[in-house]
Amino acid sequence: VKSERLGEFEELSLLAICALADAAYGVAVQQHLEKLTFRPVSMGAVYASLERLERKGFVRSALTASTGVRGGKRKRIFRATATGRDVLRDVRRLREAMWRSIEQPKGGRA
Amino acid sequence: MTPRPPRLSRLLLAAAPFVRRRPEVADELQDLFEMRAAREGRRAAVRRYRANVLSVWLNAMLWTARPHPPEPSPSWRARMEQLLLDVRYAIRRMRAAPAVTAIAILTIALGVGANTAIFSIADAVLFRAAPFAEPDRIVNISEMDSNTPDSRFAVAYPTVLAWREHHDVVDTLATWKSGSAIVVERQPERVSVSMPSTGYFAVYGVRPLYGREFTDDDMKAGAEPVAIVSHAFWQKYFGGDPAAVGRPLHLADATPAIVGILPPDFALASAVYRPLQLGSLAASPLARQFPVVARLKAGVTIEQARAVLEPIARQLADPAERARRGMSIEPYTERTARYARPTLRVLAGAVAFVLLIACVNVAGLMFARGATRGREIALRVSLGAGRRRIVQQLLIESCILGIAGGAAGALAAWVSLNAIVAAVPLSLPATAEPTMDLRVLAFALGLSVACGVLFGLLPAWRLSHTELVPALGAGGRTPTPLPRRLSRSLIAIEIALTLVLVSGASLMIRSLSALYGVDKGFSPAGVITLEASPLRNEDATYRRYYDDLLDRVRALPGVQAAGAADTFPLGPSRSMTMASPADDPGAKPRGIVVTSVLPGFFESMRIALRAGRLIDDRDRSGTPKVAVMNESAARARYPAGGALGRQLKIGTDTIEIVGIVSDVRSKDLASQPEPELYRAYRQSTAGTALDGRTVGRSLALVVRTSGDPRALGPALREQAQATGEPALVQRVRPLDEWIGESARVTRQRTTLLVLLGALGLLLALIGVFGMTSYAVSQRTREIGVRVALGATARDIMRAVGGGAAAAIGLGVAAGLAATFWLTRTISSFLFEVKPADPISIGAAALLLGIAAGAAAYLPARRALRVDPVEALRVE
Repeated sequence: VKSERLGEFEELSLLAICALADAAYGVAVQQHLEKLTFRPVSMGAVYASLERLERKGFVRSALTASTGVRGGKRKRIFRATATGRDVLRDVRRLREAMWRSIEQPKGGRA
Repeated sequence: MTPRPPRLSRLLLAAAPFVRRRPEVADELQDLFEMRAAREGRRAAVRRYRANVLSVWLNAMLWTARPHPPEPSPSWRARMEQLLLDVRYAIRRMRAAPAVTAIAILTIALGVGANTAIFSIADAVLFRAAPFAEPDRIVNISEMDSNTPDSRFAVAYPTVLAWREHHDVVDTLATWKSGSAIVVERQPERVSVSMPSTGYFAVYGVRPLYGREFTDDDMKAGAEPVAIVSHAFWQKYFGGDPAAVGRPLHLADATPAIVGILPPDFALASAVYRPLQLGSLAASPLARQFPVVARLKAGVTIEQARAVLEPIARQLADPAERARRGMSIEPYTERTARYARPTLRVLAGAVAFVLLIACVNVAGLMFARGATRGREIALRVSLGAGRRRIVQQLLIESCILGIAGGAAGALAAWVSLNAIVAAVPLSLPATAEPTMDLRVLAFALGLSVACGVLFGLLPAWRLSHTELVPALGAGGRTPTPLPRRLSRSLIAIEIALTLVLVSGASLMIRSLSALYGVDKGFSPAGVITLEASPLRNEDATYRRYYDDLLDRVRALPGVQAAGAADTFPLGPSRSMTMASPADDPGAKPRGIVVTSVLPGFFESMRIALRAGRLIDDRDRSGTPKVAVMNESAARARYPAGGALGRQLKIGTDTIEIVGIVSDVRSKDLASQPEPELYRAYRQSTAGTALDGRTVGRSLALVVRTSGDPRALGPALREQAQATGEPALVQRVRPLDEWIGESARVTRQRTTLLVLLGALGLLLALIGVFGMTSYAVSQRTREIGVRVALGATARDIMRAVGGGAAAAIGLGVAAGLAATFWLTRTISSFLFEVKPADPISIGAAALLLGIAAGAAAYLPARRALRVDPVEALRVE
């Protein structure tokens, strides 16, 4: 289904969530993306992306208890679901297959 | 201090539409801002914050605008529009089947109308407060015998005086005496007179419109005579002229000055009020003759008042009965409610049954009509309508029917309210006039909607389960049939409800006929009565006048006998007097109804002499005092017999019993004869006014004629004015009218219950007829097949009518059980008929069974005429 596909920004967000493990909340995702992509990332885009991921069932979110650090506010932490990880793996396999088809042009099997 | 993001941006974020988890977002953006401000400076942080807010706005809107936005629940506006559509659709459908709609509306109108009318009466009597200030503080106080909680006695005057001093619980406490006077302003007229103590008007919180109230000085013996008149009286005699205050009021026996005029909303019964001036007779603690009304102090409960007042009453009571002397304090409104409640309850129950029958009828109608809509509904379901939408649509239709019927019913109730009030056997308090106010209308509306839901829910629920394929596939020619079990249940319910109503009516009819047939002990046919009182209120004048008048009346052509008495059987009220045997001083005095008669009374009434002699012309003042006793009194006092010749002490008189006459139903037709004593008027003492003056005792003439008693009326009136003594003549009536008056309550109850029973019966018959004919029309094809296969007429009747007959039988059985259980509620209305009277109820069941059977048979017979060829060609 079309909506089950992963957009590019969604893919990056999902990867950031996996990288951040247990610390993946909105601001952390945005910081992580800015750090690795070297371009400004708007919070609005991050939120929209996270929400879409959640709706598609690729991530789950939960509110943490207040930490006491920096105002001690509760944070919404995102975690990739099994489906989310599968989708990432599918995307990666697809890309690697594509790259292989570039590096070993047609007829390479022969 | 931590820097804060710019205010405008924060507001912008707070106003961003379609943002989920807004507080969390705001918190995180705040965190980010603080982090950046610390790292890159405030300006950079502000710039980034602004950009972020903007991006949140944009992304949220873009997200929402995408093809898969979260589905919003329908807005109120959309829902109302849908509702409006449904309403318009429902009205269109109702207009498409005007006959069905009219029958449904009429049925509901009958049910709701009857309920609304009864509710408006109940509302006035039970719920609407009296038109006085803070009516819940007004109480009637009476004494009672604690052994019989329903007893109510008026209070002795010393007790009244002691009570009224207790200002810790009562604001004002007043008593009054009731009487009458002859007004001679124009044509003499007798009016009711109240003689209240001071504070009487204050209890009700009423002040005179003009003039003043009574003062303590007015109550003193020898004070200038004064009067206060009611608003209606003032209008009638003084044309509403305020100058009437200060003018003399011409009564036959006094000419008091008018000192006050009451406002129009003080509608208690009396026309004229005079100050209560008590002679010596009031001082006795034993003479319990003063009713008491009081206004409790604000915040004082009835129990608190009782705790203070009851010991006082006990202390002043006769030591012998001190132990069982109690008192009753009733809210003013409760007094009327207490008498009205049983009647209202039965009427409300009966009209509720009528309404239920109406609802069952309309439910059947909706089913039958709904069954033919199976295809339409299947179509709508297949086009995507959810079950909720279908149920909503159908319920709206039935509610609109209910409201239309209810409106028609409320209108009918409004138009006929006066007639219904007149027919209801309640003496409504003058202060509570039933009207169609907002509350009554709200009741009618609520009832209508409840009906709509009641008769609409079941069909709606069933139809919403319509199976798509068969309903669409059959080309719409065979409608989803009304399930037989359901239509039979409806018939059974209807019959059961109706049987209860018809049984109630049947019991009342038997009671009424028993009441009219009861042995009254006298013969009313051919007897006319009249009350005549000379205006000059002196004992000697009265005695002379009645002797003279009787002589004149006896000389009239056609008169067979004429006599007189201070009251006559079933006439105006009478009271008991205590009498003790003169020859046995130890015996307790016992109550007996004493009537003073002039010779000719027994002959005119045809009260039979059982032993001894009647009162005759020998019994004059100066001869030994004699009396005639009725059989009940003789049996009660002298069980061993030998009443003749015994002597009784009544007051200061010693009276010898010279005769025994038959028992008479004097109080009312339904009451057992009371012990009665008839004295000679010529030997009885003169009347005494409250102020101690000697006055004449008014008598009523009873005249037996050979012809029509009514025709004798004018001649009697003429003779009453021809003696040379001006007199007031009133209530010239045949005795039959008094009897009719005595049976009035039973007759009205009977009429109402018979009407409601007939209404219920009619509705039920329509229902049975309608449902059976519908069933037959649905089974035309099946019947055709059966006939083609050789079924006889009998087989067909059994197939078609059997179900209806079984339903009717079941309904009658269930109805009988309910009837035996429910008729107890009218046991107090019945006379010489038990609530479970098998003859009445059996007759009702038989009538209902036959009528319902006929209603089912007529359409079933149509099944016999089904032509198999025709029926099968339809397919």
